[in-house]
Amino acid sequence: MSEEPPGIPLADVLRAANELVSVGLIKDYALGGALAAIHYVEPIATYDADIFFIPATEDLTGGIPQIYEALRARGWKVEGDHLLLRNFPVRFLAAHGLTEEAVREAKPLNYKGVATKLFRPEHIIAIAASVGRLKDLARIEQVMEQAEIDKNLLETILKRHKLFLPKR
Amino acid sequence: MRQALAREPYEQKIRKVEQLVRLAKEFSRQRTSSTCEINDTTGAKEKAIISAIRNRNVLEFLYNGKPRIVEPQTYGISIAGHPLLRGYQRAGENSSGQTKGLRLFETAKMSRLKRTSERFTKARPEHNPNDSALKEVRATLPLPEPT
Repeated sequence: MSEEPPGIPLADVLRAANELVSVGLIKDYALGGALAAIHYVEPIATYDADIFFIPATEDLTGGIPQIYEALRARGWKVEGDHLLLRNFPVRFLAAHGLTEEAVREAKPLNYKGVATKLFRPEHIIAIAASVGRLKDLARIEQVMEQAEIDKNLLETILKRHKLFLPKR
Repeated sequence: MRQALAREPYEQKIRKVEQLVRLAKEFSRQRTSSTCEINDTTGAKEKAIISAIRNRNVLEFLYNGKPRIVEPQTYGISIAGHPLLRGYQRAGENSSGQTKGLRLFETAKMSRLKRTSERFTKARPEHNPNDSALKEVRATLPLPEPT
């Protein structure tokens, strides 16, 4: 299943997400959370992967049961609200509003030969501003300091979603 | 340095994240025989923190799942009513990547709290017993004597 050593089986996670798109269980997806932020900033410890997806169905479940079933059939395990791939926790989160926009406008990436997408830094900042926990505020600071930000785009996103950055 | 790390290729950074996670797990497994692990109830944590402040014991705990080594300075209740520890983080990690400094910790987010036998001598120079983040102070260190 994988050429990766034990650790973060990101290529296999992304491959599985691509398969979910291929079989029509999700419309689209992008990598978010810390693993997306790390693309733009220095490495930080993170213990899971967040996959934001646009559901293929309009029911309230967002197709989560079918996604879990499909991944379990591929050997993934379920633990709490995480799916585990070789003990690495992955969350599949139905995107809506700002996160849906972040998926639609995500940046294409090729990771170890797997075509994927990940959130743009401007969306990572906006999402962190919308959540507002201490770790999100730290993420905003880190991305603002270390990533190349399109300030006009960031301003547009923040304005569109009525968000504000914390005062520095 | 941090900017240079940020510019590294993504695959290389993911390998470093794996190393960080391995180190963090190893760090959290390390226990000294003189370390006392506290159960995760609010009351037990409060008791251990207050005792650590009075005896100037260094605390170890996981915070949001990440290991921290902290010299406790002040413990009390926040304006929003949550138990908080103001402590000087000596080592460990946080999401901003900074390891050292005075920080606020919500006790509800602490796990695997341990009061170690290691002792520190006095409050940090920036210590403020009347911490503005706390509406009620339950234990605090005395101000360090001017040198």
